Amino acid sequence: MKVLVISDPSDTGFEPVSLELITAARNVCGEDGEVTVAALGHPDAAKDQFGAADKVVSLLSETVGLPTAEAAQAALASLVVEDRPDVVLVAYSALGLDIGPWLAARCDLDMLAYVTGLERDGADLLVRSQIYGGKLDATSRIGAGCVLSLTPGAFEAAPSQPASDVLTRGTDAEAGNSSRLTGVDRPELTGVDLTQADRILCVGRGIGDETGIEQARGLATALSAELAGSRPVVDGGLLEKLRQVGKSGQKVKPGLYIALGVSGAPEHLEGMSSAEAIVAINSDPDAPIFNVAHYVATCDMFDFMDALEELLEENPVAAAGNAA
Amino acid sequence: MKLLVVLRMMPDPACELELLEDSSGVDYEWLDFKLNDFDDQALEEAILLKEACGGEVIALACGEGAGRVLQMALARGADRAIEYETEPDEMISSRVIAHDVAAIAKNEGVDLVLTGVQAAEDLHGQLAPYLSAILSWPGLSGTSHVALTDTGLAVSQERGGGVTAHYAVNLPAVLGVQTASKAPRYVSGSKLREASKLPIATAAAEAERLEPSGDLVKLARPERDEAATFLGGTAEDAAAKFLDLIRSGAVA
Repeated sequence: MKVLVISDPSDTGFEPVSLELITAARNVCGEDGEVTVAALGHPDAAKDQFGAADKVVSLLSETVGLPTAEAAQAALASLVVEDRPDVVLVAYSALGLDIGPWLAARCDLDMLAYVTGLERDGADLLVRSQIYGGKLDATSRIGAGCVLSLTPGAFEAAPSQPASDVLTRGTDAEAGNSSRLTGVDRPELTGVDLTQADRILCVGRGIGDETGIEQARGLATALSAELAGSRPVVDGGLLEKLRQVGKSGQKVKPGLYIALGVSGAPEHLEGMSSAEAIVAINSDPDAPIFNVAHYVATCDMFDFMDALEELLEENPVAAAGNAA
Repeated sequence: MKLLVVLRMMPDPACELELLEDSSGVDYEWLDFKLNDFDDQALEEAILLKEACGGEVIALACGEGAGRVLQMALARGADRAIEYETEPDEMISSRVIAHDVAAIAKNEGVDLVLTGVQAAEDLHGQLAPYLSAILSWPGLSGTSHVALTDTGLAVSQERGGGVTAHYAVNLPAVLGVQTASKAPRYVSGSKLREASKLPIATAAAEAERLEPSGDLVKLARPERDEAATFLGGTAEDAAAKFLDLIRSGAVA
């Protein structure tokens, strides 16, 4: 099979998921197959890293920083039309999300999203996708001529090694000029930094309102933990953006992660599943957070918080780690 | 400015999903349905834009309970409501509905389509980039702020790790909204009652559609690492055992 891997650019190079896509491509391409990486921008970084592929093609090589979705779409469509890959792999990322279905519609390809597993079955592929916020795995059989969007962290990274050659492909300057990047903001390093926290207490959608948040805040303080929230909590305006864990928030790796009423959608797990110890409390026995947790209880989060509060009042715990 | 916001009803994320006996699909019989979270954000962003720069918001909804959600959308500030009929008891594939939605956007002559960045059932890919390809309009997903400018839109996109990218986008355009500029507003019972008297138009499938991708072989619950330790059957037990973990140093 001919597999085209679409690298996932950051504003300075490539995201680690780019190498994971190469592993997935190698798994399915077969002995007479070929893996080509389409590197979006950053031709030097592409030459340094993508040697695990058979071919590296640099698109938008003049682009400084992040390419726009529109520019990436136009450049990739012309490559796909010319090269006719059997399978196109793209990352489930901010940019990849705008590339996958767009290419599928424009180049007349099939499309499967949220892919976490991939195997070859004769001329077909068996593809596992996470749907319903990670509550169910869907297995699909799909033939050649498809775009697959892969969830970061689902495949091992291929070794980062220099490529012998990088082909540069010019692009139509007129294509994709109805949007442009005007700036990139990085978080200010003032205030809370969840990535540095030893303990995190994260609350999910079930926390309800300010009263719930205040109770959780009190418990977080008593446990020397930073308070965090999943996306619905932050989107609902209950916690500030810097306290959001997950794909569109912070990626954290604390010693202890306490998830209260967090369902554990794939986008949340992407931000915290490598925590050393994960405690999950959820009333839904099917909550996907239980698939990655080390210590679990199926009960109401408020009952748990009330019980914990009572026990902590009787006998407080010492602060975490060396802060004691 | 004329805005179209696309709303999809999804099984309530808090609901337990039962599989059909042959694992070929979800049993919809006893499920509760709720507006897709991100579509709720898209609705709010559309109404905020209308409030800031005038114009008209058309809400288009599909799925179980779409009528109820359209009344809510009207109560929140949408000007017109259209219910788009999809197959009952089937997943709403964004790929399959995309051509119809694009046709409605064109017929209505809208300047901007907003929808949620993703939905629980978009196994075959997300709606906004499909629409962007079909309409040949620029598109951007994962947006967290949208404002009208002299030349089009100023759009912010969340990229994780707190990084936000800012774009200038010409109109007409398609946006996949992650978070509205403000949290979705509360709507009072009296406004809802008023809105329930407003008409809701209907639209049926018309355009040539894209087929679903591949054959769905089966649905299954994900495999679970059975090595997890149970903290107990009651909240009190769980809280006590949890504190033991911390006090004994079993966890950091």
